[in-house]
Amino acid sequence: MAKLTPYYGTPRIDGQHPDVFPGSPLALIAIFVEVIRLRFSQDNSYKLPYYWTQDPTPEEDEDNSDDKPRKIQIESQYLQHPDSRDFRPAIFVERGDMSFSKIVVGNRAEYDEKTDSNLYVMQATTPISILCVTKDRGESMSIGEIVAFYLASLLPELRETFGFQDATLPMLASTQVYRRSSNDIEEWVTPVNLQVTCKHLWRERVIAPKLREIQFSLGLAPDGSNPTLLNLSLYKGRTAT
Amino acid sequence: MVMALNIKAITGLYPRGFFIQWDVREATESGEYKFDVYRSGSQSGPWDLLASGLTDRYAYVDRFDAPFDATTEAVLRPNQLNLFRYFVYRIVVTAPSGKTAEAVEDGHPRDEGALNDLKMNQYQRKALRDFRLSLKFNGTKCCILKRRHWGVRCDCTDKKTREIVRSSCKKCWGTGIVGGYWAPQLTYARRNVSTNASAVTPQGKSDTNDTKFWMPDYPSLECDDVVVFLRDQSRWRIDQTVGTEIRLQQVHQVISAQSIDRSHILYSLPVDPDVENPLL
Repeated sequence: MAKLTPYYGTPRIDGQHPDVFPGSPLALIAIFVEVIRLRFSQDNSYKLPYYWTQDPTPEEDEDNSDDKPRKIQIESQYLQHPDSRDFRPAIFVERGDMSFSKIVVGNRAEYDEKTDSNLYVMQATTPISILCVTKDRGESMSIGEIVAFYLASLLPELRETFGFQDATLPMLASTQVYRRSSNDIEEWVTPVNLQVTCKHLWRERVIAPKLREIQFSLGLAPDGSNPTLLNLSLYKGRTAT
Repeated sequence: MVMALNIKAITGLYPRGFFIQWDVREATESGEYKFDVYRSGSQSGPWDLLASGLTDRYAYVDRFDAPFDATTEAVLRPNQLNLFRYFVYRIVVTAPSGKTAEAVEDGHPRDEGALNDLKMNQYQRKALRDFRLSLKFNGTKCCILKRRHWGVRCDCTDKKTREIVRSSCKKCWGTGIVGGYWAPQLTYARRNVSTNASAVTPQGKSDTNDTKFWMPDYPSLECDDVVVFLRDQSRWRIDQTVGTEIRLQQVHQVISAQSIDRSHILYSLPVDPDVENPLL
């Protein structure tokens, strides 16, 4: 089984770009791409007619049987430079509208008197859509069912490992024609939909006490002799008096 | 639903015979379908049995070039050079369960006016001949893979729902019927320059490559049939067929087709043009 290295308790996978923050859309997509790849790779794909590897080029002798399985592509839904175009069967992961919701008044969870700082909290709920795209309707349903049951059975571990506040049971949606443009070749898609909720925390620390500390350590009197520091210290309506 | 047989086309291969193509509708049974082909000079018979128990066929060539024999040739080789002599064909299909269906069709022009307009018939034959000849110069060699719609159901198909659950099967090539396609038929086609288009869609980049072919009037092509161009081994799936007709008689076919992506299992299907076509 391939090793997945999550930031334990954090909705992000290790090795992502530093700009991808935990719980952000790209972090969520990456989690589900990797988790579904796991289902179709190495010994997890035993007796499955599909398997995933990084290189999607079909093998000479593959014939979509249990003994000689066919490669499957598992990616984020939109790739600017995809490894393979129009490769089927494919599983694409996409996210829907991320909606933030308030769980406490003013989002304020805690106030720390010593540092004069506030801890805020809110939830972000994101629909995740996993599209199982193939050339045949029956096959699309079949792959959709594998993905849906896998995610349903994995849900407690998924929540624990990636610190999801909540993850709903997946919904295996109806199979439909997958048509990106009017002259696309016939393809079918079975979406597997679920929602994940992540907790977002942030702390607001007023800057004035810190600035006062700097002023005193530098030996500057707060009498207006240093206008730059004074301007900065006006944050949140407080003055450095 | 009741199984039905439809004779799609009777095409004159003047003066060598006729190409008779058929189609079985509602072929719900899995197994071998057998065909008997009869010919007559009239709708009411009597019928000459040309072939019996044909399997693995969607067409038959009623070949008139009999072995040279001065005594029998005049009988065996009907005169196709006149413009008013047509034949009637009767096909009988026997399903694996023993059920039968039959169809009778004549090769007369469908337009009543054209039937008696010998000059028009002459023009039509000339157009057919000229088009086929022109393909030798401006066409390129290709093989037609006609998709099977009846036969033995493949293991990759669910028996109850008849849905294909493994699209990359090498027994049926994603068609659900063992064999996938009938024997490749070598022909010539004029291929237009293909249009490559890449569109950015919310569902990813969509690359399409479509083109048009001009092909002879037989075999009659349908959507989902595949054309393989031998020179570059490119494979195209037919999306649309438009028959060019003179007074309801087809002269040639204009085909719109989409390029099949290179990862498709059909690129593993060997197409050997040297294999003798069982039809011709």
